[in-house]
Amino acid sequence: MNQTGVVAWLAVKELWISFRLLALLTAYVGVGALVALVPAPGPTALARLAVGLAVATIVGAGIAAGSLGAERALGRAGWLVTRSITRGTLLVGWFIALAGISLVGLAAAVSLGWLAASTVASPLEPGPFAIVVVGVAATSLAAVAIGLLLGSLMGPMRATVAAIAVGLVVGAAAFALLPATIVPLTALSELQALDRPVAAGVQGAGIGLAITAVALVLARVALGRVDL
Amino acid sequence: MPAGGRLLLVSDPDSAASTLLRVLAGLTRADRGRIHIAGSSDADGWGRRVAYLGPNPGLHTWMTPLEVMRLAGDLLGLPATERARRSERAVAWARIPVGALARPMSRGGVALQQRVALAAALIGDPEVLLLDEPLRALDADERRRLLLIPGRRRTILLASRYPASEIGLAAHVVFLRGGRVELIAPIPDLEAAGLPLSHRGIEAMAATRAESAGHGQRRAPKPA
Repeated sequence: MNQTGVVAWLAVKELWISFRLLALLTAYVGVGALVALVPAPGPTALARLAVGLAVATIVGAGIAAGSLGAERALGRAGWLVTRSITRGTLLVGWFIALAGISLVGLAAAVSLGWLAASTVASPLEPGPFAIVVVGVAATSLAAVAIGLLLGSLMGPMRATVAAIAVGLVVGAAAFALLPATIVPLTALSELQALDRPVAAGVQGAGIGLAITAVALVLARVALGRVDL
Repeated sequence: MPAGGRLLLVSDPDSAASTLLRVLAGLTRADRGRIHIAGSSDADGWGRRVAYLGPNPGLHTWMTPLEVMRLAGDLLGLPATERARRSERAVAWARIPVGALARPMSRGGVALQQRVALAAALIGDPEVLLLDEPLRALDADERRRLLLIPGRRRTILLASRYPASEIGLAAHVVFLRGGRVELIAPIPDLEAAGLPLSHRGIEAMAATRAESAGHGQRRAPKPA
């Protein structure tokens, strides 16, 4: 296993032992289960799914921030760095672990959401739904990356609170102010009313991945300047 | 500092010596200057030649000592047979109880974690050991025995807030104040001057040396 794989494996085990992996998966799968179990018309189910996924995404950001902050505070990041693991590898390993878990949870949630929202009365087109979900996945990755950026700068508790606060503010602003064509979660909630859902999904995915890349670069710079 | 030296770092404030070792280990960023260790100024190459052991073991306590040793060996790129051989030797040196080897370290307390951290530091057979207040959870005699790490060519820097507890572990003492080296002296010189190996004794020797250096400079003839 290469060094990135070692860090990712350690991160997954640490998240498992500390129940954070379970919390993250529960946040996503719970949303899907809730949407599937509470009967509602298709558009309402999609709106519930979008709001629930927004909450799960914020939970992901908080867990990412707290996890990296804790690794630094407890000296575990330092132990790895004194054994030839670079700070960049540390960051990428944690990103892979958290992103992987988030995507598994998201896949389960949207599968359940699809079953609930695609009814005989208002069937959902699988293609546009899948593309918009890709945009939502990119949003989840961006949230994890922003969480890691905050975890690079602050202690675990402050980083967690900051990530949740940033997630709530940005999420509320995006829902209220930005058009559905660039916010995948809004696009998901209004999927059946959108003129060009595929374009909205692709655009949202691009923006999400760009934010992910910028946040990871900033996190790497920040991690290079802080004590481990 | 020549290879094979054993240096005791004492500072005012106490945290300065620890900070210096953290900078050398790559854990804290230096404001300025260059670091040259084991013939290299490239930090990426130090992992196999330089080991750091701090006051906090920094280990995942859900891991067993055997898992930590395997991980440390893998990160150093050691072949399996070599890793097993070195691991066995390091575990024996750190006196990790056989019964604790396959149990999570969370059941063994901080003392066990510090023993495992020492063993993990030794598995790479490092040329340079940076010891920052290590093994404080162990009793004094056991700590001294573990820190008498063999190796004629091994260079050891030991930062300590309690220099009196480090008698016999270093050959020279370095005193840092205000970010500058105020004194480098063989420890027997302190004994010869009737000074104890303590903060007060080291400061007294630094003051005496500074005073005599000042006299020397005043008496030196002006160049023609």
